[in-house]
Amino acid sequence: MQVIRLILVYVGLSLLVGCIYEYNPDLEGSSNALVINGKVTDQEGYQYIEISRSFAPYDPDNKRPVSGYSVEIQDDEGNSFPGAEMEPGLYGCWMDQEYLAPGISYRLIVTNEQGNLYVSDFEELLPCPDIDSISYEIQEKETEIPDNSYLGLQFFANTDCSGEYAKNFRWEMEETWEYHARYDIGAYYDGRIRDLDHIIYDYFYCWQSKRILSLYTYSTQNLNSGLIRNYPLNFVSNQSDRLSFKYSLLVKQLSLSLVAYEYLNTLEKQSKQSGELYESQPAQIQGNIHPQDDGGEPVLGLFYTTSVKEKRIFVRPDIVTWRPDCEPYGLSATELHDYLGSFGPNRYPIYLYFEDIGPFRVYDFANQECFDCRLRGGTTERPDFWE
Amino acid sequence: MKALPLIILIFLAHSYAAAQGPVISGDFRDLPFDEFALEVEEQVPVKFVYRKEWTGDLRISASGENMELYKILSDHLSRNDLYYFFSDDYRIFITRDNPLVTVLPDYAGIEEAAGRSGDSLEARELTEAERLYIEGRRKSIMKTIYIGNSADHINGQGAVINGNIKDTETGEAMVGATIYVQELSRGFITDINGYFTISIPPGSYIFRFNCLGMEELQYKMEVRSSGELNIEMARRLYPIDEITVKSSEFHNVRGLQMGFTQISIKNIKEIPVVLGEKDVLRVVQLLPGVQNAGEGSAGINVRGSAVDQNMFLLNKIPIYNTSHLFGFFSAFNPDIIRDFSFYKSNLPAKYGGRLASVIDISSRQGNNKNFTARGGISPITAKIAVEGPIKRDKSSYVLSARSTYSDWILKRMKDPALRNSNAQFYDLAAGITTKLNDRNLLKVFGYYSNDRFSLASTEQYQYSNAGASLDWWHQVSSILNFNASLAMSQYQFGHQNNSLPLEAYQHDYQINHYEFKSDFTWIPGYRHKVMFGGNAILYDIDRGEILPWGEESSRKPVTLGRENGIEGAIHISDQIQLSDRISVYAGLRYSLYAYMGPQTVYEYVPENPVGPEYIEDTLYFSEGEIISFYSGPEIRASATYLTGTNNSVKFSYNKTRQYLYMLSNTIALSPTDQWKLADYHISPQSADQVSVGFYQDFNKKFLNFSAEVYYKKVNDIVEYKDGANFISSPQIETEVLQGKQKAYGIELMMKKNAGKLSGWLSFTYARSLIRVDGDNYWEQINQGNWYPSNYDIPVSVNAVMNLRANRRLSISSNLVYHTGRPITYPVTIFNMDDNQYISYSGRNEYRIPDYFRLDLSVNLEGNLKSRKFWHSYWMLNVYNLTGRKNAYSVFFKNEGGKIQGYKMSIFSQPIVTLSWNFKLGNYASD
Repeated sequence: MQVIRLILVYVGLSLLVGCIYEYNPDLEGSSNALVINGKVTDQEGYQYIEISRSFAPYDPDNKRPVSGYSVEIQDDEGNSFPGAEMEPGLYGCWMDQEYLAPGISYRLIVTNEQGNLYVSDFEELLPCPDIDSISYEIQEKETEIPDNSYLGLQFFANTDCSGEYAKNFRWEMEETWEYHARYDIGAYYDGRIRDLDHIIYDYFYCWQSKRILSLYTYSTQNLNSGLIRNYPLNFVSNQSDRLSFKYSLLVKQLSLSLVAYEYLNTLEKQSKQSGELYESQPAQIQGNIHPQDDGGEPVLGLFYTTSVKEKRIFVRPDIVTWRPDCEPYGLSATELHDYLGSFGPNRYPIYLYFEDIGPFRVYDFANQECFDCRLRGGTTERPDFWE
Repeated sequence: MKALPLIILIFLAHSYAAAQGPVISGDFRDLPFDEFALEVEEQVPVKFVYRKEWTGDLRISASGENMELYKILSDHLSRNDLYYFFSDDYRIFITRDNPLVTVLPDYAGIEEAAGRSGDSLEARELTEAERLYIEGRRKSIMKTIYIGNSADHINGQGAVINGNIKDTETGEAMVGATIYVQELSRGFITDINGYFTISIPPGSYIFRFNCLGMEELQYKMEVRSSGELNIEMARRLYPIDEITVKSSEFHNVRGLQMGFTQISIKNIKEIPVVLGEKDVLRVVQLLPGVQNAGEGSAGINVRGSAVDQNMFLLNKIPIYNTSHLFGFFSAFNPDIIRDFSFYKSNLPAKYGGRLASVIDISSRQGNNKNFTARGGISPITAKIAVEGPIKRDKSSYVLSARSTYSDWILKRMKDPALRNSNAQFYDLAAGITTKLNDRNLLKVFGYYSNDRFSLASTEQYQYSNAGASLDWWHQVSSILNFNASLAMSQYQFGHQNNSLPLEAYQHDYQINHYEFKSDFTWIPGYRHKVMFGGNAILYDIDRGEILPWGEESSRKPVTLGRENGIEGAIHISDQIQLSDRISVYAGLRYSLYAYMGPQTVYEYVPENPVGPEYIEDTLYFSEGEIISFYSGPEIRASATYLTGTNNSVKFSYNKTRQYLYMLSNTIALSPTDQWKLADYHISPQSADQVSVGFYQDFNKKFLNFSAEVYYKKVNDIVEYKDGANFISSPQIETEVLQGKQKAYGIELMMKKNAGKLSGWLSFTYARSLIRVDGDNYWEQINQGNWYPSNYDIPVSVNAVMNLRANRRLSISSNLVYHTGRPITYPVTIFNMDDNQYISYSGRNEYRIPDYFRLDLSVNLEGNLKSRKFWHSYWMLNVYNLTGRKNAYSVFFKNEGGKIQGYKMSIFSQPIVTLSWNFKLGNYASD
């Protein structure tokens, strides 16, 4: 048999690129569907129901509260808790602690101005186990540019719902982080340059809090025990100043019924689509609030009941993070004067960078965020829970 | 009637010249005929016989090299009412007033053939009568073959001619070669082993033997009684019609098949392909009525049907997953494929088991005269196939292997998930063909394909097809053939998913298919071709277990269970020629299916959703016990009516049943899609299809046209429920619903089979709609209304063109346009907990953007020397020349509380590949 030497020659194979582009197709879209979202927690107080109208995709008018409806929560023991509109579209039903206990089922009844009735299915309040722990690890994420990865903290929830507890959960999170300005304040400009007689640190320490809006849901239905280990929660990258000093995450664990879990889990999946090869198509989701009479319209949204447990974690991350650019501009005295003059009085005071060289003080301009940490959105008020 | 003999003369002169063409050179200016004759006699071995007084004033003027003698004569003699005649012994007779007649014409009705003396045949188009006349005469120079002995002939019975057609050079059987009997307007085709059976009344005929890429042969046949005929065809050295889809006039207009295409692998060489690999399924996708889900999907949708409704047979082995490398390649190595047949309208009764189409692929049988090899290299794959005789003229082998080294491409992907992926595949095939004797042929074939890939290091997939077949062909008598085969096929996949380590799992799945099949072909008379037989299939499916994978996983193990089923069918069909114009195919298949134990089956409380909470009763079935039994007739009928010599109208009705289906809720065919048998809860699907077609040939320009209209109705189609999960429990009935489907469309196709420019242009308008309308809302999809199926593509246009610049260089292109596939889009956005969420439309209410693609391919052959050791050719392919960013999918994400749409495009730039292929032998070697 002849041996054939195969000579391998390629000519210019262009890059194979599977690419994702922003694309907003024309969507006729129907707006104006009735949206009712309500939740009963096991904590005494107002139980909130939000009623709004949906809006078409790309519609800038995206807050459309619906006022004037009446709401009521009923339990399966014959008690009812009428509500009142607290602010446009937000209704509250006060419930005392004695009426809020695991094992009781609740439903929501909404009546519109025409008297059409919308009633949810009964949802049982299920007990929620304590959160065992919140853990985290440093993870590296790759980007579209090879070798340009970044670091961050991945948080995990650990919980044990073996026994009589609910098997389905949602986690809500609120993050708070401490960050600092770069420079203390010793001089400022308000039409002329002024020196302070002492250095002030009033705007040096800041804290900022944000609710994490993404949905996190999980069910133990695929697990062989009620032990949830390392369920991934929020990922915090080092591309902001969140991890620059100290970071805290408050995790609320909400028990869910299977119906509520499936609804929220589908929403979660559908809001994190990737368009990849083996992805399944999104679909309409059915909520559990139904119109009761012929005049009623279909309802989007969910009514659910939940017990809530929470846990807070503090982290002093040891990774390099993003910092604002605080390099002084390097302006000469005249340049600085001209530059400062270009700001209107509404911008005063303008804090200045300075250096004392012998008896002389040299001023310069630097990014104002480096003097006043509040400019980055936080507050100088230390939160009560801060350790 | 004076004109009659004239034409004979002209013709004979012409044919002589054309055949042997005495040519002369020189510069004759006003030369007296006498001198001219002497000059000619000197140059060529001819002798003029004439009377000097007739040619006295005739003078010849002509000059040049290699002038054709008959032409000069034609040009000059006519002026003096002279005629010439070339005799067999190289004498040229000149006659006056009357041409010389040697043979009597046997054709009447020639009045219109008003020929003129000395007329050159090339100078004008032939009239129909002349053409027929000439063809009628041609036999006088044709070889005559005598078949049988008139003494053996039994009165009133037809003669049956059995035989085979082989390649002179390689001895390989010529499959799909046509034998056209002009007098009867009937065509016959050789089978997969090159055998044919012709049943005709005794008499004299002209047989025309044709096979793509081979020299046409014509023989005068004196058929006296039944007998044998073995023909060897020689390769045409310079095939000019290499891109032709092999459906000659016999298929297109006269054949009984509708929606049928037979393609030989040689003919798809020049169709541009992605990543430089010629691929049968890619070619099928260019035919009208065939769509696919997306760029990265090997599944095809035929006439609006789901991807699991196509039967892929490779030498009788059913292949359950036909894709390699995310579907960019099909699992069939083109180097061992000889040809394939694609049926989408009327399936012959011997095929069954799938609703929409059958793609029957035959491998090469191997050269039984010499060793030969072929192979190629592209940026993605390398492949090689070798073949040769085991025992010369008796048995041969073929072996092939193909593998990929595509990882380097993935490493250059932008998407980090893809960058961390890898993919490998390979496939192997081996076959042996042995001719035991003239009446027995044995073929053994084995096939294995394997794919392995990981996506973003969180998911790993591995899958393989393995199959083997044993095929025995036996000629019982001159009018009865028998074919029996045993085939086994296994598809298996393994999947590890680590996207959430807490519930990471692995899943192994396997389907085994064992089949015995036997078919008889009986030709009781020249107007009938009867086929009958049956098959039996044993399905053994292990849907596998979901098991925890990795140390962190606490996945709950789930056993999806095993299942068994038996499918059987018997069939009989008769192809009847009712008259010269009407042929009918009447077929009946009766199929049976039993779903077998051991199995645990749940019964659910009626009027409630099917779910674990509504289990009413549990039924246990022991091994071998029949759980469900389904059966039914499948009528296969078609008719052809020849409306004229070059056009016909055809009709077909087809019923098909399918006893297994695929569980899929993804856009692309995923390797983890499981095949599942019809069972206690899920009934088998069935389809009825009616098609009507019109076919027209335009012989002169090698053009043919076809128009087909079809309407198809499918019952018990399986649709997944929204959010279906196929690995959570063995009870599939909780995840799917059954509904109805209707599909209809019109397919127009214009094809040019030969010439410098060849190819086809097709236009399709088609719809495919599904309705799932159970009594309760949980048994409905889209409120029980009709909705477009995932593969409803109304308009599609394909143009395939091949321009042969010269014998070595050809340029070809594909143009593909179709409406975007249906998709579910957001219709409204709502707020919940200060975040925005999407409410989607009903299933498939929108469409992704239209698809358009233009590909270009340049094929450069090596030199055309006929004596050379090997031949190679280069193929430069540009896929998606315009770089259009065709959407594969459109999806929406919630980003920072806002909804943003994205489209994903798989090939968003032109993809250039260069591949090199070789074979031993010369350009024309097979």
